[in-house]
Amino acid sequence: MSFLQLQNISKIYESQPVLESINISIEKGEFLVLVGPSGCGKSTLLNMIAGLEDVTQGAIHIDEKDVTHVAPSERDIAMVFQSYALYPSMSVRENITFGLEMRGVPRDERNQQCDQVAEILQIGHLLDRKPSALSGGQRQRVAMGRALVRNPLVFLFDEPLSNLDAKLRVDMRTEIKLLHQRLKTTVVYVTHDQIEAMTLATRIAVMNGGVIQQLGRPEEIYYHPQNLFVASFMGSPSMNLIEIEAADVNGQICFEIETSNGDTHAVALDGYQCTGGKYVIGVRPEDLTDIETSDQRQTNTLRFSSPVDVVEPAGSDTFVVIQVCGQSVTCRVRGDSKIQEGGEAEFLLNLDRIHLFDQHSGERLKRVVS
Amino acid sequence: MSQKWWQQQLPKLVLSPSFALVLFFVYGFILYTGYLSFTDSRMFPSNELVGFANYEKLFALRHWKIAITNLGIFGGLYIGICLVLGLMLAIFLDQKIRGEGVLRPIYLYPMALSFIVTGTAWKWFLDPGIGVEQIVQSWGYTDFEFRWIKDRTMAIYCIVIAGVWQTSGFVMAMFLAGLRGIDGEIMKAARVDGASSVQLYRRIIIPMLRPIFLSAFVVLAHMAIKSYDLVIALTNGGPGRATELPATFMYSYTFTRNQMGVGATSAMVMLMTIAAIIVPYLYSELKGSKKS
Amino acid sequence: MMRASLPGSAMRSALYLILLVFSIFYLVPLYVMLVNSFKELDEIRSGAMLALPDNFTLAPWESAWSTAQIGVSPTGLKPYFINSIAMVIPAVLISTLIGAINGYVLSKWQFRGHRWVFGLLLFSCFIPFQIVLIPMAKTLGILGIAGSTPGLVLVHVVYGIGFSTLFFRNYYEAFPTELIRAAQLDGAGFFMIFARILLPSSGPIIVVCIIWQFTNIWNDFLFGASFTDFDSQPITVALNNLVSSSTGVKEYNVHFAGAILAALPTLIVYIVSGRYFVRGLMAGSVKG
Repeated sequence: MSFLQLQNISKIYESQPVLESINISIEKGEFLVLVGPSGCGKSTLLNMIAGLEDVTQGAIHIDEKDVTHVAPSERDIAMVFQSYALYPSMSVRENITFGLEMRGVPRDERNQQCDQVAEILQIGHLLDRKPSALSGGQRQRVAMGRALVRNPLVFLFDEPLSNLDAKLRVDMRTEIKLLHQRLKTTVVYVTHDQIEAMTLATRIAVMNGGVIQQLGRPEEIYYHPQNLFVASFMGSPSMNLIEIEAADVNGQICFEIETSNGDTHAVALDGYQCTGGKYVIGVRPEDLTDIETSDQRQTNTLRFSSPVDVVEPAGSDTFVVIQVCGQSVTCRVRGDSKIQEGGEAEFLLNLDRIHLFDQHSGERLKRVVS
Repeated sequence: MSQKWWQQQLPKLVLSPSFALVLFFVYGFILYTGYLSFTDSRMFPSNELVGFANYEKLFALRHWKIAITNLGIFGGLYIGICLVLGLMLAIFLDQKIRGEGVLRPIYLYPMALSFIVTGTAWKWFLDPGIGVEQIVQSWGYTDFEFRWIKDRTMAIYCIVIAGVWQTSGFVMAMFLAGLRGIDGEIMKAARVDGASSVQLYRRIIIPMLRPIFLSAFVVLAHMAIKSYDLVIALTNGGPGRATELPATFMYSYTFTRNQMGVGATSAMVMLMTIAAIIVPYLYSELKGSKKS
Repeated sequence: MMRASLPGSAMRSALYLILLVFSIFYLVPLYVMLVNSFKELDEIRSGAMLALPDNFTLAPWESAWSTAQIGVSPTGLKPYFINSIAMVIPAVLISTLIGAINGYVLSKWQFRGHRWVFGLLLFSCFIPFQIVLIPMAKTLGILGIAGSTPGLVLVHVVYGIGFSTLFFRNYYEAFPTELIRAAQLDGAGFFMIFARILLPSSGPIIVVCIIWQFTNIWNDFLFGASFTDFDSQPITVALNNLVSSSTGVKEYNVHFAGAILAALPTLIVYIVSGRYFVRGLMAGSVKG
C-alpha cells in the first residue's frame, strides 16, 4: 500500500457533489501538488486529508493506517494556511510550540526543537515578536516553522504563497523546494498557480469540477496532457488550440493549415487512429518557432511563412502572434529575434509535438508510433 | 478672495456651527458647573466663592458615601455579570446552534426598551405582593420569601438584575460579532495543533477578543455611572436611601434639596471618574485609527 | 466557514438547555407585562401573574391611553405620546443631517487639528449629562424655550451630534478617497460631491443613525424630567409619574399597558430593522 492513499473519495455538500471518486496514491517523500482553478475542490480535498472536513464516501490511509474518521490532531499531519493563521495573541515562539504543548511535550524540549526550526528558517531573531510585528514573508516562515517543528508524517500546504508579492513568492518557492529536498517529508500542496505546480511537484493532480483530470509527473502532464482542460491549464503562455477539419486524402488522414496570406499547407496525421471530421490541434508556443530558434535535430517539421500580427518581447523570449486557420496563435522565438510586426517571417512547426484532441469529448487521441 | 480659498475654507465653515454648539453646550457648561462647585450656590447659582468647601462637604456626607458604595456594588456586579454572561452566551450561540436566528433577537430586544420601562416591569415582577414571591408561593412553596426590593441591603441587587437583563444581550452581540470576525483558518490551525475546545477558547479565542472586552467595559462603565432612570423607576432610591447612586444624588441635591453647590460638585466627580476611563480609551482608539 | 464546536451529544443538550433558560429569563418580563395588561386587577392580586388572563379585558389599555391619572389631570398617556413624537422627529432629523455633514468634513476634508475636533465631539457622547443640567436649565430660560418641546429638541440635537458625527465619519472613512478626487477633477465642489456622490450611497448608515438617535431620544428620561413642564413631558416621564405617584390603588394592569405603550415605538423599530439596530449599537461602541 502507498504511503498516502485516497480511495474513491467523494464529497457531497448540501446535496451538491463537490468531489467525485478521487483516487490518488503517492509514496513516502513525494511532493504532490493539487492544482486547478478556484472552486475545483482542491482545497476541500486538502481539508479532508487534514480531517477538517468530513468524507462523504471513500477512505484515506496515511502510512498504512486508516485515518478516514480520525481527528485532525491524531493524524500526525501539519498544515500551512493561506492566511498563515498565526495566533495573534501569542509570540512567534508560542505559535511554533503550541502544537507541541498540546501534545504534552516538556518545555525544554519544545524550546530546543523550536530553536532548531528557527535556525533552518532563519527566524531566530523573531521568536519573541508578535505576529502583527512581522512582514508577510516572515509570517510565512513562522507558519512553516509551526508545521516543521512537529516533524509530521505529511505536510499540507494550502496556497501558502498566494499572499506574497511576486518576487518573494519566487524566493519562497525555491526555499520550499530546498526544504523538501533536505527533509524528504511527504507534502501535499494546493495551488492555483501552474508554475508553482510544475516547479515543486514530483506528482501533479490537475483538478477541475471536482474531478481529477490527470495525475502524473510534471513532464507527463506537460508533454502528454490527457484532455483539453489539462492542455490549456498547464503551461504559460498556454497551449495554442486550433480547431481543424481532417479529411481523407488518398487513404491518408490530412488537415490543412492556412495562414493569413492565403497559403495552405497539408499536414498528414500519421499514426493516429482517426477518421475525417472535426478535431482540435494543440501546439505549445515553443513547438512553433522561427528558423533561428529551431532545434536543428528536429526532422519532422513543417516550414511555412506567415504575416506577423503582434510581437511581444518578454526578455529571454519573444512571443509572436500569427493567424492560423483564422485563429490567433502564439509562437515562441528568441529574445533577440528580428521579426517585425506587419512583416512576414518563416516559421517551423514541430510535427512530433502536436497534440490531437477529440473536439466533443476533449480527450487526447493516442498516437500509435509507427 | 479666490475661488480656491473659498473651497478650502468651506469645510471648516460648515463644521464650525456644530463645533461651536458643542464647545458651548458641553465644554462651556462643564466649566460653568465646575465654577458652581466652588460657590455656595443653593436654590439659585451664586457667585460667592467658597474654595473646596463643597468637595469637603460632599465626601463627608453619609448620603454620598452610600451612593458611592452603591455605585461600587452596582457597577462591579453589573459590568462583571454582563461581561461573563455576554461572553458565555456568545460562545454558546457560536456552536452552530439551530434556531440561533430566533434566540439572538430574544437576548437582544431588552436593549430597545428604556430603563423606565425596564424598571416598571421588574418593579412589579420583583414585588413581594404580586411578583416572584407570590408566584412561587402559589405553586405550593408557602414558606418561600423573596423581598429583596423591600430590603435595605438587598435592594441594590435588584437594580443589578434589571440592569443585567437590559444590557447583557447587547454585550453578547458584541462578543458574537468578535467571534464571527475571527479567521476560520486559525480555528483549523488550532485543531491540527491538537487543541481541545476548552483550550482553543481559553488560549486562543478569548485572548483575541481583548479589544471587545475593552469596548464593552467602557460602554458598561459609562452606563453604570450615568444610570439614573433605572433607579428612579425601580426603587426611586429606596427603601430609604438604600439604592441611591451618584446620578440620583446629584439630581436630588440640585433640584429638590436646594444644595446646587454640592450637586455641581457631585456632577464634577462623576465627570472626572468617567473621563478617567473614557479619555485614555478614546485616545488609544483615535491613535490606532491614525496608524491604519 | 468552519466553527469550533464542543463535542458530545450530552454537552449539546446541556448547551441547548442553558440557551433556553436564558431566553426565558429575557422573555419573562415582557410576557408578564403583556398578559397582565389584559387582566382585571383582582386577578393579578390573587397571585397568578404568570397565568394567561381569565377574563380578557382591554380596559387597562383604554385607561392607560386616555383616562389614567397622570400628575394632576386624568388624561392617560396619549398627550405625552404625542409630545414624544413631536420631540423625537425633529430632533432625529436635525441631528442626523448635522452628523452627515460633519462626518463628511471630518473624513474627506481633513484640516489641521481635525483629530482634535473629532475627539472633542466624541467625548461629548460620554459625559454624564448631570454635568450640564444646571447651566442648561439656565440657558433654556434665557432663550425663552424652557419647559417646551422646542427646548427639548435643542437639547437632544446638541447632545446627539457626537454620535451621529461618529457614525458618518467612520462610514465615510471607508469610502474611497479616489472618488472624491475624481469628482473634484470633474469640477464638482464641496456640496456637489456630498449630494451627488456620498449621500446616494449613505443609505445604510442613515438608517443606522436614525434608529440609534430615535431609540436614545425616545427612551430618554433625564432631560425630559429636567427640562419640561407638565404639558410638554415626554412619555417616559409620564409613565414614571403614572407608575410611581398614583395614590390609592396600584393599578398594575394599567401600568403594564402603559409601559408597553411607551416601549412600542422602539420595539417596533427593533423588530422591523433589528439588523440595523445591532449595527448601530456596534458602531456606537466599537470605534475605528
